[in-house]
Amino acid sequence: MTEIPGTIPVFLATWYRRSPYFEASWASGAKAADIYNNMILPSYFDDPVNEYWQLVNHVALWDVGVERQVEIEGPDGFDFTNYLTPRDLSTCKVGEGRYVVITDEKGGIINDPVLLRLGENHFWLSASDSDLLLWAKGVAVNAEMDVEVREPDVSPMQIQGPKSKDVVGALFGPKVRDLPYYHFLETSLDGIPVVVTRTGWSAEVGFEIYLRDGSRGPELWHRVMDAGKPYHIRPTGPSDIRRIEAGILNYTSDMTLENNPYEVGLGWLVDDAKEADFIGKTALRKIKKDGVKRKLVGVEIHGSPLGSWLTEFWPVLASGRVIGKLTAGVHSPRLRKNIGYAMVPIEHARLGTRLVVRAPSGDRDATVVKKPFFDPKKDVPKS
Amino acid sequence: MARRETDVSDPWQTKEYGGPVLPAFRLTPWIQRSPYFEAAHRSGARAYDLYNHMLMPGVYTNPVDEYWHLVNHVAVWDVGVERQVEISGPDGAKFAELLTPRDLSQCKVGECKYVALTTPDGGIINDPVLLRLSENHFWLSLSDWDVIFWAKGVAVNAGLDVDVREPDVAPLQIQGPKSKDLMVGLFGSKILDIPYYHLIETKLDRIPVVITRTGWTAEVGYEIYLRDSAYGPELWDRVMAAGKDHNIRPIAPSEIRRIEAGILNYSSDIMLDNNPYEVGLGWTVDLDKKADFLGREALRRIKAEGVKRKLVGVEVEGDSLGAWAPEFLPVLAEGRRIGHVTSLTFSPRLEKNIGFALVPTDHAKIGTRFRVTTSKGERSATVVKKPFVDPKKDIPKA
Repeated sequence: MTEIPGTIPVFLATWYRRSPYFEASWASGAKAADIYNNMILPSYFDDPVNEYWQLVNHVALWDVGVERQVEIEGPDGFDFTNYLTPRDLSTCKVGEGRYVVITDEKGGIINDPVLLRLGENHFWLSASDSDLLLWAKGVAVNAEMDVEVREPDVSPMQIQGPKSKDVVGALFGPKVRDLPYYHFLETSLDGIPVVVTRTGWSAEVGFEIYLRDGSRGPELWHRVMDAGKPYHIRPTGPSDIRRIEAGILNYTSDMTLENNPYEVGLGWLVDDAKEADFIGKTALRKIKKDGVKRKLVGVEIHGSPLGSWLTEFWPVLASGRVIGKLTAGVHSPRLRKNIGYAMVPIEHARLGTRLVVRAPSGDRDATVVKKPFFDPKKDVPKS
Repeated sequence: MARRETDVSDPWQTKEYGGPVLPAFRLTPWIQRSPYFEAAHRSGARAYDLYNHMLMPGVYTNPVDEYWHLVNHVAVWDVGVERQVEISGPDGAKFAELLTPRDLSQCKVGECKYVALTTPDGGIINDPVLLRLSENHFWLSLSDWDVIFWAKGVAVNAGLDVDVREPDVAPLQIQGPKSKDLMVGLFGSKILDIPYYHLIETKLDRIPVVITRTGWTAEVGYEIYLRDSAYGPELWDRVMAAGKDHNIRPIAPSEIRRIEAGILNYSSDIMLDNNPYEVGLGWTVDLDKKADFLGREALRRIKAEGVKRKLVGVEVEGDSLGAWAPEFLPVLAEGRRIGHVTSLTFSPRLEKNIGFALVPTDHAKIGTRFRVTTSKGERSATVVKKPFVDPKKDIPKA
């Protein structure tokens, strides 16, 4: 086995849950993992640059069983879900998905799930890495709404890349192949119950298959690999490079509970005109009125190519003083630049502002630039 | 941080570490590091555990060697991963009472209690040690999972004037028979006046700490809750210097010792779909406590009806199955899967494989035999009493 820089050994233990694709992923050559929602996420099969080219040129399969679902159901299912998020769900039809933030009373971000509306009063929140289930269950305690909150047996996989349409077309036919962006269908593959969505974490054309019966995991994995063979499908880790090019954020690094939606550029997920009450409404109105004090900005970091992920936050300096931190930083092979995000005080957030980034190997100059770095109108994934 | 030489025939590197280890885990910015991380790494931590989004040293030498050190000498653990939920405000006590079935009117300021946090269904959210710092000021010292979200969520619309947050607190555990001597060397003889499950707030020169007579070992032990992480490296060095004469060593939390003691681990032995009665934590439930709490009705019903399954102690026959189990092992009766082993270890002093299994109540009687599917094939197992060692906890109370 070759050494992988930027990794350390971690226990394999019962308390890290495994997705139904665990065995298949490791048998397919997974070499390193993340722990995400108390589960093992195979995050590295090959050099991330090779995985990136596979994703942007062909099609990649990701074992993202770690995307845990919070299922909300019951007579007040809509009202409760609408209460959890500043985004107005009254325009979200059954069969549609939405990217949302879940906020606490101070406007801090609890999670940034993709929401699926499965029925009038039936929702899934596909959670990023924090125990959204505990928040939703906690809020339900005193909400005086007739609602059930639980974690269902659902394990997503992502099929991402320009040839993903061909793969899902071969598996499910034209109805799924032609799904509009952020829409989904409940269907089955020879009895394997799934929900297929036109979503993903890559900003490429992509789909997610939400498996609804964990015992069918290995079977589904092999079906997808077989269907993808003519299109050169390969299992890879989720691509940090591609998501950063796209301006996609990662909960726990680019945003945490300490951040509100406005400072991380997610103000568009707060509907000013939303009439229904939601948690954080008062706080968010005030934050918007007062303006934010810091901001997550796009940065270009000068100098030689960086690696494919940061192992820690790097300090950001101005006039020799630490003013913020670099939350993401990678080398984009097609832009041939080092790109990333930095959380900085608002007075250092203007486009063109020069900053210094303190890398372990020494200080580097950096410039605040527009993000996304690539395809700002998301023409690629919508195509 | 390069890996050491490994046996390529063993993809999970079981032999090198004493148990299976993921070959490589990506070190990323969102994995938090405790204020002792660098010091622990320099001291030889070489495999880690991820807990509450943070790294915790999981192996320094090997689990058996570390176990003997713990039971014979004194050990320091970097358990900065024990995150605190801090509850304060005029209704702090009312809110803390709401979260747990344990009667906190019996918990004086300066005392600690092991508590279960329960949902309205009686399911267990977490099993923290609660510290009562003042009348309305509490810390919940957590096991794994984001309990801060649960507590904050319950506070929404609770109609209570309460503040819930995660403070800058990073615990160290000092555990083992020589821990008293070490702590007296550091803090003076006032340490000897802290009874089991009590706390004091103090300073080590300028380093602000809370000291509790608690721990995850069932040996004599203390936890030092550092209240300003900037002092992490300094505190670590002070502890190591004070421990020199007592043969101190940094080790990882000991699965072997905690299983011997019947101590449970949230997210293996206890999950959200378990209630306190089925995992043997019924003694932490005061159904008739005065204050309101979440889960009273459900727990009353569960108690009246009796539980359907139970976490029991088990002995698994045959040679050593290793220091820890990497996955839940199926429990079989008459060829049918009836439950699973939640924790398993080979105890070097009992010279047996011991652990816990969650099984239907009709298979839970002491002496019941069943089969367990292990990495070395099917084995016979017997339900036995737990704890396996020192059932009255005379050792840690000494």
